[in-house]
Amino acid sequence: MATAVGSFIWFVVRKRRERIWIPTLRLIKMDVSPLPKLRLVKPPLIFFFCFLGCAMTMIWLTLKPKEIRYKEINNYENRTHVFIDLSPSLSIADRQQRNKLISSIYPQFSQSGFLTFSTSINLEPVSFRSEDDFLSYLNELKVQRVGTKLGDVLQKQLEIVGKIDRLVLISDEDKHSWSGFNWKVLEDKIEVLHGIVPSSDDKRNTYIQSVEPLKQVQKQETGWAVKISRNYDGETVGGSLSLAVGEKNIRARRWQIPVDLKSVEIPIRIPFDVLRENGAVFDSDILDWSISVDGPDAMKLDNSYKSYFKGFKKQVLLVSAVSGEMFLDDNVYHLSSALDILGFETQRIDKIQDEEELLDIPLWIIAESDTSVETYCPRILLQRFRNNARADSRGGLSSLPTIWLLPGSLSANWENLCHCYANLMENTGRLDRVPGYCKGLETRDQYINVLNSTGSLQIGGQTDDLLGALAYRRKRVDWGADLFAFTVPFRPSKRVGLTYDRIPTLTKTFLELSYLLGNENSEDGTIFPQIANFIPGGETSPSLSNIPRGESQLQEIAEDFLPPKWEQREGQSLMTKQGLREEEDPRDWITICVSLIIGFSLIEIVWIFSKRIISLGGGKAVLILIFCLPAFEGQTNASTRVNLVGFTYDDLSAQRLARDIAGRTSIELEPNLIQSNTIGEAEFREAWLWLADSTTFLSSGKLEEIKVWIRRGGFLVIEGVRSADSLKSFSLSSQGVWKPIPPDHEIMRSFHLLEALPPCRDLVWEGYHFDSRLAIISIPYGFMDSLLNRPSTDPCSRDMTRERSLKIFVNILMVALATDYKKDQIHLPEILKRLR
Amino acid sequence: MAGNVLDLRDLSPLVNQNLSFDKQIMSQRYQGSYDLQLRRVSRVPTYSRSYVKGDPTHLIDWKVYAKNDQLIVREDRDEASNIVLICIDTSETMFWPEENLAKKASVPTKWEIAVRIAFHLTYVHSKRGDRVHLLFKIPKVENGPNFLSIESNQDILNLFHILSAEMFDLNALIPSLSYARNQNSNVHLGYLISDLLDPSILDWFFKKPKSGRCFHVLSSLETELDWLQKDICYFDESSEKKEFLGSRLQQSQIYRDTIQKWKQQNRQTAKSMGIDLFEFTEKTSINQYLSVIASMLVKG
Repeated sequence: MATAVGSFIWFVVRKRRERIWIPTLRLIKMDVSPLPKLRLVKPPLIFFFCFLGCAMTMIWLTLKPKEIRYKEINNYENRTHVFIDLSPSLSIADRQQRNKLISSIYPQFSQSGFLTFSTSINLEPVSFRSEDDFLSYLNELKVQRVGTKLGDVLQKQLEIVGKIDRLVLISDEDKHSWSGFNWKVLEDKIEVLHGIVPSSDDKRNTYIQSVEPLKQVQKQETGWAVKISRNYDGETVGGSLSLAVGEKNIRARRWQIPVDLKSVEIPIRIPFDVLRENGAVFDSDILDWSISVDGPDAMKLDNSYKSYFKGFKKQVLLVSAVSGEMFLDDNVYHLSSALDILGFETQRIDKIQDEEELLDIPLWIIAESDTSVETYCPRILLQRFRNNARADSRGGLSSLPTIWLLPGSLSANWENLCHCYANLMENTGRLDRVPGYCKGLETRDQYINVLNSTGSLQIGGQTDDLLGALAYRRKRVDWGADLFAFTVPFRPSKRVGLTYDRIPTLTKTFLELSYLLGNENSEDGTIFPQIANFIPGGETSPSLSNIPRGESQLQEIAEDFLPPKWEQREGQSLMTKQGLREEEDPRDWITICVSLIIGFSLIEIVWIFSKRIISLGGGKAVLILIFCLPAFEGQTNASTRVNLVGFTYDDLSAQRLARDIAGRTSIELEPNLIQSNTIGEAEFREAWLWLADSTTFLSSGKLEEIKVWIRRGGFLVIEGVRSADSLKSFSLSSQGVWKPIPPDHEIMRSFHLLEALPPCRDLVWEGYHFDSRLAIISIPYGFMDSLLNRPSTDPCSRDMTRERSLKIFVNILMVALATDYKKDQIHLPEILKRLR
Repeated sequence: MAGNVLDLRDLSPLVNQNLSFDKQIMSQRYQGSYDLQLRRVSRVPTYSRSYVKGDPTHLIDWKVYAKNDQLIVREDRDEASNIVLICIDTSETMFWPEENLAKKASVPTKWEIAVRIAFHLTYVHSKRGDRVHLLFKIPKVENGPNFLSIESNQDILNLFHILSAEMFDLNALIPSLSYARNQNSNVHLGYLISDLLDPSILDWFFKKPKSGRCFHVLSSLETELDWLQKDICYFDESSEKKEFLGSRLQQSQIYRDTIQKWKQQNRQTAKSMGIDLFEFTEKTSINQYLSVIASMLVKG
């Protein structure tokens, strides 16, 4: 459309007419029709031809011309990544066979490119310089207890590993891991292979599915319902179930799953005394459940199960003086009934007692009475609060009961209530002195204001109606205190709006809020997590997990859903999927089109230029042409390359390095290493030099030339520095200084954000700072070996992963090219955001 | 002195100035082109004529009658200086054609022709003893200096020399101009040199002197259309915008007819006002111009 309109304009728009004034035309009295503004003219042919050529070229470009190319396989440019699935389902495979499969991959793929490995526990890619290193890594791999969803974890893995050509998945055919993984999407860019870990054909498995607290237990005892399941039926299977705390077995009993059932629940009840005798402290103790199976059991990992025991006891202490008729006037009678219904054991006392035994009771319900505050407000808790506050730095809080503070009536002594609240929550320490903000409280409204202003959270009522709240909750995490300050008596009252039927419901709600009663939809803190989809790098720790049910089911996915199976074939080259290496390459067409457009533009420019020069006359034309001559000089290229002195590497290593750098940054590093044995004139023409050791530097005999070169902007890297003082004698001027590279140096954040530069023995990375820039870097070990993945005798170099070396190298490269541009203020907010 | 001059482009004050040679010698009493009304007897044969009934009898030459029986009247009138006012229109249209066109067509501007005619006339009258003033009607400068009073013949020649050296630039003339003081009074003869494209100029000028002559100066480019080019646009934006292609002007007779009608109209207007109207272009030959001048001078 644009081309058509443009072509039309070429022919139609006329040039400006010459206009001549004739005064006598004013005498002509006639209607004058306006002269035509447009007329057809013949356009200048050369310019029109150039315009048409450019327009046709651009139209062709919009059609996205491309050629199908087959991408050549370059041994040092191809990247293969092996992902090893360590989900629990692989525990049924023979470990040796698994390792054998993986170890057969190493020699196969390491020949055809750069090979990295990662696992479902640690997504950081690792590479190995030798097969021995690889084998030792392999032997340390252990199956995890968390489940793996390959789709989710590989999505994150590919973000970390970057551009790869081939992905080998070492896994089984477990449905839990493979479900939801659309691996075919990857095949557009990556070849996906599946190395199947061989396992036994008998997938019959019995496992502990869950352990949940029993709802109905006797007093002074606790209990759990252990659900044992299997993934098959048709025969009876039995075994024994045992419970251990620490290493002590507490209970054991037999169990059996009938023929037609797939699971059975085994109740286990244990008196508290037994638990105490065996060292259960009721706080964060882990209960170890385990089963032994007298029958087929493919996976042994899920025969053990952990759960927490958090002192979950259904005991309540009621502190309330008896007053009036029990049913009508007692503060806690109905509450006590509700607690009984909910299975709680209540213990009632008239006034508070400072007995250590009472601290074991998880809930204290304290009702205000018309006596003094000392009769009902506990003091023993204050000491425990203080201990907890001091215990923060040393670790370990003592558990404390949750407190419900109830007013006795709507005309309660609100000042006393406030006094007790302040003592418990603000730890004022003295019951004989009323805090200032509690003095004079006479009404419920004033009490509520105090609660609200001290940071308590409203429970019940509308959000904008403080007075409608049923209670206010205040937690002191530093002391371990948790208090519910009720604003109305917790007994049926028409005035308050509490009916008889609402009391148990409200009691249950508050018990759930106090974590004393398990919610059906929420974990009550006794359940150990079962992580079915573990993604490394998150907050969840893989060690805190029971085997998820999906893994225990050991269901296999249909083979059609799996990627092509990798098999090692002797004597044959690696089979790659046909068509995978083909890609649409528009570059040739783009080159042609850009060349055409530039050509047409040059024709126009030269034509106009030459016409103007000719019109100037001979002398001026020659003068202009003389000034144009420098434009036809040969071009000078600025290239980035690694200049090594004292090294001997092959260029193939540099090709891989160049590819990695190009993949991460916009720098095109030359694939050829420039290597020399000594520092000569050719080296001083380079912008930066990398020296193998300080000896090469100090004994080069060119120290003065090096100083001149550095003053001109040269950047020097010396690795293998064995002594901190060996280079200190080198100095350019009084302004230059050697100092260790600090954590906030531009090297640490010029591209990647580095936490630290790896030291070697007692030596750290040092830098010579001169002329407001870093001029020389001193590395205390052989860095280039770890970067180019070459065998090294330097233990510090052997311990360095290539990935980390690459990140450091990219940062050094950036500093060498752009010094400290990242220190500009414009970059600072982004850097700070990433640091946080 | 005039040599091989062809047209008004070469007119200068000194062209053909041997007129009235005899008259100068003959008249001893007054000089000027103004003939006084009083007639006196004269024996000079130049002033003899046949008797017409009503002539005073004392002017009859009785001796001639005695000899020939012919009644011959001999009279003479004394001359006095005419006060002559020559007004040159300096409106924008008088400076047409514009520089580019003038160079291209080798045609002088109407202003130049007007100035040449004005200075020639000034010299002629000054030679005859008349007092000549030049008035320049400069548009938008109503109260500015626009008057030039000629003291001597040499002044005329000097001024003309300056103007011709400055390519007849009006700015070269302005330093010599003064403010007009009651130029209306006692002007015996008025000349207006204009292109008459301003229709009010005739009324403006000829209300003042009692008799006058109008020299209608046009450019040959305005009267002939051969020089027009087909693709060029010709325009005038004085009162309403008029724009024509050259081809249209050439093809149609409208322009020619309009010019003819306009000239005719000017002649009629001048006649009704008692003014003699003469039409000149730069291509008018010198002889033609001089014969017009001569007839004017004879007429008085």
